[in-house]
Amino acid sequence: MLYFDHAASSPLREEVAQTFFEAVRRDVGNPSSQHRLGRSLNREIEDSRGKIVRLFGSKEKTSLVFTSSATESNNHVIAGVGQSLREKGQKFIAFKGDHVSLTAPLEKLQEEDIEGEFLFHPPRDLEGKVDWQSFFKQRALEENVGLLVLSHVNGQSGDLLPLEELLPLLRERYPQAHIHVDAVQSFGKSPVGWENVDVESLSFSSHKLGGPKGVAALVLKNSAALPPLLRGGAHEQGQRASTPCFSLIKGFHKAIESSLKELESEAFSEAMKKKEFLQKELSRALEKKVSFPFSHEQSSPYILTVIIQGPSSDILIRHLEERDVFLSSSSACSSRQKNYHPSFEALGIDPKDHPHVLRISFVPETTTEEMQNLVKHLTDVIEDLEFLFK
Amino acid sequence: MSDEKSIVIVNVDELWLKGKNRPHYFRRLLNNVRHKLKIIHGKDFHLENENQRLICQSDKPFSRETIRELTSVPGAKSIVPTRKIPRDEDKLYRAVKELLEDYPDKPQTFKVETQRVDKRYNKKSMDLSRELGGFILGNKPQWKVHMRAPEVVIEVKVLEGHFYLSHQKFPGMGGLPVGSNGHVITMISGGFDSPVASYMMAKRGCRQTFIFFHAYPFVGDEVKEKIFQICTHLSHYQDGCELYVVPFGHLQKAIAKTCREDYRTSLFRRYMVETAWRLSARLQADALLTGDALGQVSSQTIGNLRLIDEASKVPILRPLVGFNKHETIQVANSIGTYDLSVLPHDDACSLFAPKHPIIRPDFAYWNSYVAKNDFSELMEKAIDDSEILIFNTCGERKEHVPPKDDSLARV
Repeated sequence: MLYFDHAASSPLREEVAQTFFEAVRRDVGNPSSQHRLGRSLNREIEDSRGKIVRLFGSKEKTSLVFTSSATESNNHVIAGVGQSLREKGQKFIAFKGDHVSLTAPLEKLQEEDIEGEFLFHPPRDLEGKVDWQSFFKQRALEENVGLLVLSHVNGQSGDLLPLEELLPLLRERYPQAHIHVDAVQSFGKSPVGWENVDVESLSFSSHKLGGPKGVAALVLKNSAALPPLLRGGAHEQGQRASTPCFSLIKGFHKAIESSLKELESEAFSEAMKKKEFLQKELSRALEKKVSFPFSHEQSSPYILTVIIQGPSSDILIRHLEERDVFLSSSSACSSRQKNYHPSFEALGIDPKDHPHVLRISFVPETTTEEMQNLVKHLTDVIEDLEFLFK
Repeated sequence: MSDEKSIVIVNVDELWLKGKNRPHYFRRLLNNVRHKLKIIHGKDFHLENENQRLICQSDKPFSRETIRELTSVPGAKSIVPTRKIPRDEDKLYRAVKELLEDYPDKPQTFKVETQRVDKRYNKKSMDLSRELGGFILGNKPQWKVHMRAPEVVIEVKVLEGHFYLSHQKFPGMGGLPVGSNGHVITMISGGFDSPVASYMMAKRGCRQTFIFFHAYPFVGDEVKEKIFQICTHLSHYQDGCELYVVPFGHLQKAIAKTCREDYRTSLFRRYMVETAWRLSARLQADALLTGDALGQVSSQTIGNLRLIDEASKVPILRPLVGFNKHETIQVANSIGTYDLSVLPHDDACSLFAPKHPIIRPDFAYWNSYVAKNDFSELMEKAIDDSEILIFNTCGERKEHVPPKDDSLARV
């Protein structure tokens, strides 16, 4: 099998599977129970929580809530801060083309008469850089922005926001705002000193790191607090009433450890080289048929979005899946509407190209040999279907 | 009322034409009705042939749903919920009074029709009708008698020990019972025509096995859902049926690669017909069935149909061959398949469609192509790899044989 859809989900790492299954067997009792069984589970959960929190800042000002998914984390933040926006008469700023788990809850706030704006990403210069300074300076001075929502890496385009440059700018301009960063495609994949990232909240997910599905994180920094999403118990420090899933949390923790270890071993720079290699191979094999709409430096090394002329992406995907090769054509959560994706358009892709978008995403373990095989299969399929598109 | 049985009478349509074969046809109809009732009503019922009518009796009342299901039995002319009343005119009058309570107090035209099946009854039919009519007018003063085209017809049948009283007649499909006119392979698609064609031949008593040519990987699997819904609907007119979903995408690709572009669609049809014929040979079916209407699309010109037909060694039934499109749509609306067919679906036809499809095919080219491109192994394998769904006579999926793993792509 050639699996190149890691941006949608990554298979369970071997060592994570072991930790997870073993934890499932040990998962006897309710971590909230007073007896020894419960206390023992609770201790391990708090231990994992503490270790992960330390990556993000001091335990005095930083907290972590285990949620069921990054979608839940995003919803929790947006609904929670939304209340404050309403009370204070403030607005939000977000970006078009971001994942639907960000845009949908924000749209709901708009339906509830909270003001907000979805911005287009500013254009890139010839070197692929964005002039964020000018972009925000051009805007009228807004004093009532209470929430800023950013995707560190956009799952569809791979576009990477330069947080070191952008965050100080945003702080200066919008001092009252709660800044939330969706780090689903970047945490554990890019070398970021998270303790220095000046935001109020972050979200990231287990299954993107080769951990089990069903668990994710919401990190609150700078002593940020939110009203609970789920009420009914003191779990997760009162933030999310639900019996925590011991085995999922252990698996998640292990996946985080494995990912960070990989980062230490130059995985990130290796990944950049592999992505370049893949891009070169595709250009060589497909020539004018392939284009790379998001080819620039400020991009995740693990996501390569391509536009291939000729057969539409869903036909290519089906032909590839028959050969056990797996890609995706759009974010797994996006609309089922044929041929037009509003998020693609928001990212600057011409509607005529929407049916031709493919996303190739990989992980540090992916080898150049696998990439060559992918290119071979893709080329074979395209050649096989060429006669239909003359 | 509690000791009274619930009765539904199934009036039969053309069976009186069949002479010596009548018992055989009648038995088929009875079995088809029995199978439906078992599923939708339960085991508590008794079926009987009485004077060329099928009497269904049960202690449990027959529901609206059951009556509706019975209107989908080919061969049934009408379905009549009936009360069986002991032969006592007091009880009859009481029953008529109860019947009237179902009707609102507003003006209505009606008539009473009495038939003495037992000719020895001491009152003449007309007299009983008149007396009952008077009784009804007494209870419903706003009603008026109308002999020719009344809104309500109250029917009384006088039998030896009892009366049958009814006032609702639900039209059935008519025609002949399913299974009395052979077994055909119906080529079903997501369009308007093939479901209507299937219905029309079900009405003539043709048992059908459905075959759908799935163009995966050129289309997604979503189109199958539409076909499943269509076949679910059509299964009500059958007495249990199967749907074969035949993987055809790679065969289409193989044909398209080797033939002239303008012949693509017609040749696809030709090989689909041959595949359907091969299935008919395996299942010992007697004919194929399609929704072709002459000239509606390019592959349905006389020239093309003539050549396509050569691909089958059994006859191809085309009940819609003389229909105009709007006539087909009218039937589709009346039988309820329009709303299913109108849903959009992925169509590989547009992907492969030639810019100028051939209308008058060149026999020499066609015959030489067919001679050179056998594809019989691929067609047989496609049937072997088919996904099979089995429906019962009430639209429930009973069994499912999933598609085989080793797809044609690996060949």
